[in-house]
Amino acid sequence: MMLQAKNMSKSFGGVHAVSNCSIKIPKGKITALIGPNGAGKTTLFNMISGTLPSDAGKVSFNGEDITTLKVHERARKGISRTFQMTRTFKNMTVRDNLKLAQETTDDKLKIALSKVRLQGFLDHIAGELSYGQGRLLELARSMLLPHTFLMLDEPTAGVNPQIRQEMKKILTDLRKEGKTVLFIEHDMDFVMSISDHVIVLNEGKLLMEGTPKQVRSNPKVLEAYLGK
Amino acid sequence: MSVAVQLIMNGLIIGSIYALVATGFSLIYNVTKFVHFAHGSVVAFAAYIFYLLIKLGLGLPLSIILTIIIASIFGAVIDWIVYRPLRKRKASAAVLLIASIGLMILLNSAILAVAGADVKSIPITNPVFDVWGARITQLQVIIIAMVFLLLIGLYFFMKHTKLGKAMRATADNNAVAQTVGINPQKMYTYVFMIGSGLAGVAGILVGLEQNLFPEMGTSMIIKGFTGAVIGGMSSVPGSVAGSLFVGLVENIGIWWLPSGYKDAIAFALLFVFLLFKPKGMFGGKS
Repeated sequence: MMLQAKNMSKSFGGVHAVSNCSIKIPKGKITALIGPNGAGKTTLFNMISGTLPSDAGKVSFNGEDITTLKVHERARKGISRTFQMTRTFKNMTVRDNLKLAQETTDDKLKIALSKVRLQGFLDHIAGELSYGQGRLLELARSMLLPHTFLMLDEPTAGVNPQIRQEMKKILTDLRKEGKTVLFIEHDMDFVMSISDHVIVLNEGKLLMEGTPKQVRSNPKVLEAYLGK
Repeated sequence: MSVAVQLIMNGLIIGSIYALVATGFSLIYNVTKFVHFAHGSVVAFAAYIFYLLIKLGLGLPLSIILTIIIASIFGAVIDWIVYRPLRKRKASAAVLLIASIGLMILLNSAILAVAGADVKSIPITNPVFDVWGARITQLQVIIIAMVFLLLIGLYFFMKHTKLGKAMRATADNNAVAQTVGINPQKMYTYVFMIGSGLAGVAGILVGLEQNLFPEMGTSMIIKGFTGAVIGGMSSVPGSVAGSLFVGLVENIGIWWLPSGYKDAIAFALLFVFLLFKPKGMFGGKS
């Protein structure tokens, strides 16, 4: 296993966003984290990346306990992430955005940008890119980091169908390279078409996990999404 | 004509010193996202340290270098002792602001207690030139040149070095900066060191150009803050332009008003901008 989160819990006030939830992320696979709104997906995601401290639980990465590590320390271990709302360094150029992830030559940056079809945007100010382009830049920056585990929070949210197709290709290419991906997504067609493993959360708890086929045919999942 | 040139020159000279104060202040604000009002007291602290070193007979070059180093370390110590524990407790920007005001009062009082209330000055040989009828001293030429070079150097540092970019990234989006492996705590320490180092230079220049008095830090932060507000707190170049503007307006203003109104002019400018253009000239839409 690449990553294991054991007995994770988080409450906001009296509301249990995640309670006693345990998940395992297999190495070299694409894992989707799904569930209805309020299921605790982003909360769990944030606890794994370190952006949100957990109330209880343990996170292990490549067998090492990283529970107490800060976000930048987890990033240096190889955990890279994007956010639900596009977050780039808006006042900096695309070049500087990428170079912060990895100090490298312009040629290598152009190759990274060509993977997300943003070649020719190297000198643009990140804040001037469209929402979809910003999403792709965020992805290119995450991929440039010397990561082994990529976490994407709703990568296709708010992007047009063309960029959605590009995302699909980027993720499958990453799998071919042996990278591990965990992503949150609401678009079930996208999830079912590229995931190797799907984890379903509901009301802050693990509902089930399995292959896309197993998840699709599980009545509990349908019930969680549509209600009884 | 010569009076006009003299007032403009005076405005540019004092405006340059305000620009150094405002630049350090603005840098710290942009990275840490709170108003470090004690920054002016760091200027005063540096000025008194410089005075002490000169009095100890260390000579001008060594005193300058040591003052800048001490001011930088002092800035980092302030962050570690005062602000870092508050940040750990998730203190809001308002709490940090109150802490900075408290620190400013504490530092001013400490200077008063240690150095006394009397006005001090550093005697130096200072030849005078005549420029278009205005009297300009050698030191004043050095002040303008040094501030100009420092600000250019800072611009290149922030724009082209890895550390500068990491600081800009933290200023731009702290959460994302952490996900690319940037340690925000380190950035806070560095920005306090750089900002306070600039305050150290400002303290040296004020010490040489004007007199030293315990409350000088308050006066400096009011001018630096006004310059930063006029230029736009989020813009370091804007803060420089705003500070030069403050220097010019307060000096040209005394053509019509008694010189005692200098501070009042700065305050009036601050109120006007806070009321009508709170994000300043270069800080985006209000």
